[in-house]
Amino acid sequence: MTQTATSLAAVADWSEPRIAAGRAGRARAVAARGLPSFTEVTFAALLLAGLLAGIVTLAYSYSYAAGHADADQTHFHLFWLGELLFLGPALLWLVRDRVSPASRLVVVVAVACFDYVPKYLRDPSFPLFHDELLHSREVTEIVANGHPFQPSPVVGIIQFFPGLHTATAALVELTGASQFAVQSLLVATLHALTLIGVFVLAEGLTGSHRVGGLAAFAYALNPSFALFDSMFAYETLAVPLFIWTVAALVKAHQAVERPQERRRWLVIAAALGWTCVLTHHLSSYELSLTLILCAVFASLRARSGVDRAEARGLWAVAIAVTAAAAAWFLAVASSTFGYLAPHLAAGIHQLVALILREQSARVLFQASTIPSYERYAAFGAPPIALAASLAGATLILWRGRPKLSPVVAALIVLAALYFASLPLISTAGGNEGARRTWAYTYLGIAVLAAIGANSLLSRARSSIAAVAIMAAAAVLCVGNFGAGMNQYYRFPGPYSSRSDIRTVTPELRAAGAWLLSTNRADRNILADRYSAPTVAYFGRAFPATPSAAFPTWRLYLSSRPPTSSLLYDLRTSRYDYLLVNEQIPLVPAFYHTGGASAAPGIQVPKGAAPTSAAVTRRFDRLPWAEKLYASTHLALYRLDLGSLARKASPRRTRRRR
Amino acid sequence: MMPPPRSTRLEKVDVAVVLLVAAGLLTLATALPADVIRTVLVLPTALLLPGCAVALALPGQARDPIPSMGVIPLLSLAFYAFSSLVLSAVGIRLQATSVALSVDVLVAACGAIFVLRRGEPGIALRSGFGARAVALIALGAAAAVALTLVTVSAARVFTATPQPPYTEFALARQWSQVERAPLVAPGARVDVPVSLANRTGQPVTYLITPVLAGVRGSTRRVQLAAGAQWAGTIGIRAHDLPCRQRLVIELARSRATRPMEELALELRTRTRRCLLAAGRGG
Repeated sequence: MTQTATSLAAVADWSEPRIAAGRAGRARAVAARGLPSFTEVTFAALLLAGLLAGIVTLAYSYSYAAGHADADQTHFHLFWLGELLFLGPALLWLVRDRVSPASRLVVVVAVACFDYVPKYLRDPSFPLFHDELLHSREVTEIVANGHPFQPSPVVGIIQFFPGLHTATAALVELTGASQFAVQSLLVATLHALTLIGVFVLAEGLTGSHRVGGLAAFAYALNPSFALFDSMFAYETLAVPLFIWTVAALVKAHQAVERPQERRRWLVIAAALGWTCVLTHHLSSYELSLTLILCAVFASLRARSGVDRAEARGLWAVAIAVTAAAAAWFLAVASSTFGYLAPHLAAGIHQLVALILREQSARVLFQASTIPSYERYAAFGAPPIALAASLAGATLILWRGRPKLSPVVAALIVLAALYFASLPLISTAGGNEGARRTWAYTYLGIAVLAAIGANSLLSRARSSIAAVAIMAAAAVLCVGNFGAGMNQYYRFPGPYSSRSDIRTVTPELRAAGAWLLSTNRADRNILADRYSAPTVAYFGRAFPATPSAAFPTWRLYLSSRPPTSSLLYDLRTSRYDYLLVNEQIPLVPAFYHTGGASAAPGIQVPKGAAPTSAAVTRRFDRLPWAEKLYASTHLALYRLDLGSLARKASPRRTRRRR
Repeated sequence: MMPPPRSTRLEKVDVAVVLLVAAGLLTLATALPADVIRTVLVLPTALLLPGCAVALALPGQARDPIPSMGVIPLLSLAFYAFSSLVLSAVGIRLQATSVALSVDVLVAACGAIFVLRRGEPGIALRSGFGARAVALIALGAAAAVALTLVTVSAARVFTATPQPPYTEFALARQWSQVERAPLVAPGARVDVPVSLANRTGQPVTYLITPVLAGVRGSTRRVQLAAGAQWAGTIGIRAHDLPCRQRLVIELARSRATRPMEELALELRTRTRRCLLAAGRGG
């Protein structure tokens, strides 16, 4: 090619199939210039039919779940039927040998979009998940106020990582569309970009687009991808940034003898890494670790001048991103330490206690209503992932296929970290933190497993190998989905105080909307832990974050008037509103702050716990509480703290006056 | 041997002009009313244009179309994230005009870098798209449209959001924002605006009764169809004493049953004695 091959030119090259290594690859590429074969057209029609039928079946499974008790498992079976209708043919396409890279990529994008459907169908009208409500509120506040770093309730750290929020706010402003529509479209796009990134990464490392397609498919099976990474939260952007930063390093590695192009990809890697720093704390730290690993491995193998130049480039990106992460932490987001450290410390402490048999392990799937096949698959998935990863790692380390590059070495370390994190699942404190790392560590597993699977397909009888791979993928898919999120998050259903998501009812949303329409935004409010995010988003209110120094739970749990110090704090901070959700059990955990000690959620006591209806009955009689809003299960009070303070200490009040 | 694909050379200036025109159209489109057409026009442009401009300004050649295209939306999002910080730092609000103008500035700057950089003659757009590529693009587009339509339709047909029944009862207008107990003249009629919404899924007759300092007022009957709302006032005459009187507005389904909901607020009596007592902090 004599012309400049900028990105636009690269787009123009789309019609030219990539020429695979070897004579057979060239022959196929020449043949590929013609019309699609009958088999391809048939298969494409089958895929499209599977995609559409799968979506309809998934939608029906959600509708069925909404009208039935959790113990009825029919919706699980329907859900898996829907998944099978598309993912089965899609994987069959990806394991095929004689398939063009473009068609593989179309299937990969379709898999990404299909994997976004369950989250979309969970509630297609509003944000629903706990974190999603808070991140959506942050966007709302940025749009309303015109500036980033708007104070965020409940999870205060959100405001210090405004990458996703400002980008979304900019798109909302430009398009004029509803915020939720922009968020949904953006998440779907980022979902697709994530798998394209894995495809590019694996294809770049191995030179095989079949490995690229299989790696993207394997990554889509990770426990976080379909639901957790499909919600609107800072990880949604940070994960593709992480993957594409690493992919850019691979492209730089490929262009090691073309300095201009290498520099181009290194600049892109640094730019994406910096955006990751703005976007999410954990992702930027994991990215820094990965980049440093890549740079160290590159330095270790640098013997020739070319290798040294490559190592220098990797070090430049690693230092640029790590320094940016450190600077952002020190200058803007130092509270990240207080946010992350308790999770890590509690996890390690509890794991040590577990090893020393000082405490018992968290019982997995306790009170879960998922089908038994999902439980078995959940326990079977890690060994399968381990076997597949070992197969890939063995090929790389002993056979040198593909060549051990710095990025491949870093991916092996990431895969090892995934398995190292698994014991933390047995601890209440480390469980949540471990899960949050899987979106990054699973990248290593996806690439290694794809290398292993590709080798199997090349060596063994392809039909037997394909069946084995599809069986392993089925176990990974079902098991990881089952292990990823509990049944409450996965499916709609009757109200349950066992999970915050089932307390986000139309009634609670209406109460929030009423507060916003009548009392304006940014009203400080007291609420239980589960209702707080909903009131924060739909009411644009600012729920209190209880602490030992600000024990707002006493207003709910104690029948005595608030202490003078609490009253003073409530008055000076202008916490004038109080929400009682009568369906919430009157148990301290529901009114305390969430955190490492409370993870992975609230343990509802056995037997019938009293509900918060008693709080309503008490507040209904208090002369300093005016009930502005009432619905079947909710009560919203305005607290006349001034009159309470005068009543509590009339002399002091008079003296001050 | 296959014949070499026909290609159209775009000079650097042409490319820069195309980008600038796209940026201008994006800026103009932000003046359109907020509807589906504006979204369809603006969102893809907004997701691609800044990233495309940055990619052009970068040194070197992008040989592989997939990573080159894939990285463009992420570069665009990176631009919005950083430009928002810059706008905020210089005190400019993040709004349609400021974002669109910042895109214009970026495109102009990147276009200038692209045009002024030496050694790269322009870009070539291949016109010889193979039938296979056309088929794939058509298939991909059809799949995307079908996926979107089927997903949105399926979500509407198979509703999955449980709708537990409830009734919404609230103070309305300025009474919903009371900062402190309202003053009322003794003997005067107090009209309290309230709103009522029936979300039970069936028609219901509600009885609304005000109770002031334990004395019941006249009951108002409101019939609401499923999903209907009502707003009106509930009146009661204020007493002379006590100085603070608690007004409770009860909502019931029949006289025989206990109230299902109630609203409550304090009223202050506007008498000399009460005002003096309040002045003393009583």
